Amino acid sequence: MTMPNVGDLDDERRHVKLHHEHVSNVSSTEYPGVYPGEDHSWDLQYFKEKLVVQIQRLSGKSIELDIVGVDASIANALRRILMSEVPSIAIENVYVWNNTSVIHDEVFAHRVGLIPMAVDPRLLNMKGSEETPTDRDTIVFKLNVACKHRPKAPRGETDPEKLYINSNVYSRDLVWAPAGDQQTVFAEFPPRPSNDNILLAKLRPGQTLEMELHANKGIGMTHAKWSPVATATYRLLPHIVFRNPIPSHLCEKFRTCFSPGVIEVKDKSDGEKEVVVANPRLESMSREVYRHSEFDGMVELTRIRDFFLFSIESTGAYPPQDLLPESIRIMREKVRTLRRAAEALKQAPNEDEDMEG
Amino acid sequence: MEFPPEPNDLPKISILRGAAPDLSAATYCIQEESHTLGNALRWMLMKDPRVEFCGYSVPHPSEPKIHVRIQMYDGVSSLDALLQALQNLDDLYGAIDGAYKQSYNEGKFQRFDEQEEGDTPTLPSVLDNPQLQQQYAQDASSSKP
Repeated sequence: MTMPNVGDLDDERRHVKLHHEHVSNVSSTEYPGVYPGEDHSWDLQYFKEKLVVQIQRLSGKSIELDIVGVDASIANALRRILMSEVPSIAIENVYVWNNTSVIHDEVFAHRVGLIPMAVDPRLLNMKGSEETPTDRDTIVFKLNVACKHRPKAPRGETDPEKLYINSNVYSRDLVWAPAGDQQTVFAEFPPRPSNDNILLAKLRPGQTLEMELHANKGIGMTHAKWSPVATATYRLLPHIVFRNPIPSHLCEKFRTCFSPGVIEVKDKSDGEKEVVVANPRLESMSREVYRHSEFDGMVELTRIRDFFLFSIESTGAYPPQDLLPESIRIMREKVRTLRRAAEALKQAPNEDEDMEG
Repeated sequence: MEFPPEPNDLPKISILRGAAPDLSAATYCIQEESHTLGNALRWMLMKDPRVEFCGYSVPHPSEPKIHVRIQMYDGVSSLDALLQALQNLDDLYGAIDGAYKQSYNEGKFQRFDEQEEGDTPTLPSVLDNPQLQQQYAQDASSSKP
């Protein structure tokens, strides 16, 4: 685990304290005027020096990273934007020509809307709800599936897969119908679902699904189907503070009070044992150690208030490493839009003072 | 109701009634914003030593607007503090963006595989392909007829 200089984790001001039945020191107090003789006003250079952003793990689907040295409001803005304002593509309009399956049109339409799509949202525009679809804002899929008896199926067979053809309809049965210059724009990565094996419906011989599905760009605020993340969460780094050393004969019991891998018991040179914190990230903060009176006053459980462990899981619309930069871009866009409006307000102040009560 | 609401004619930011004439104390109403911007902006304003008090609220959960109250020391304009705070927030997120990309380019992290059966291969990242960035920029500029 790479650990750059993240400052003094034993600094009490950075601790959110966990007690038996409550949590204390939750909010930051580092504002100008709070501590005599300390400044704490905004200083970009100082912020940059203290800031640590370190990616820990990356796969094709998810990313885990640390952001150290920011306030919760800053980290939370990114988390909220990831869930509800980073755009992605989802099926929005379903034109059903024929549906003789047992699933109702509207239930099926809702179901296909929720299929995560592996389409880069940066290649499409938002479509207004009243606008006519164009190749710049809509991707069309066709779904034509009919279930039939499988010829020469063995007698007495009960498995529908062997008895019938197309007894299951999967997301891979969606066929992309390119329009305009989409053939060239999406040449390398043709639009398709993030996973081919999502079961959409079950059919029996004689039942048919025939429909055209229009996918649009949207944001999670409108409907969760447009959220580009399966999860986007953060937690604070657990930190265990020792007030007194753990007696040798209690070391093993102490270790079992924490999640596996958090505490290691080591042999000291004098034959006694001692505990060391091996990996605080694994701690689930069960507070089990507080339940045993022999550890009273020996240990304090805390979290580091400005140490965020982000975990972001992509639905397939973006590679996971692109999600955080996208959310930062959207946040900065928000800030700049407001800044332009506030500058205009400064030029023409109180223009609409009486609009609000 | 369409959500998020279609852009309305209300100004993005307005000053509510009851503000001091010199704007040393004012409540701003910001349309189409939520806790996302409100809390971050509140924090940045509180980092300004000229600000005596700053708080924000979402007056009603189904109205997409926030109120930001700013009171200043020494009759300074709260609008100037607001503009400064917005500039600082932009810088702050710029710094996080830079630090993130630096960490990505250094590549000192664990790569692992969690592809499952039926998964579509992961799309290319703009962090690995700078030419994609240019392509996106072109697509965005040539997209509206």
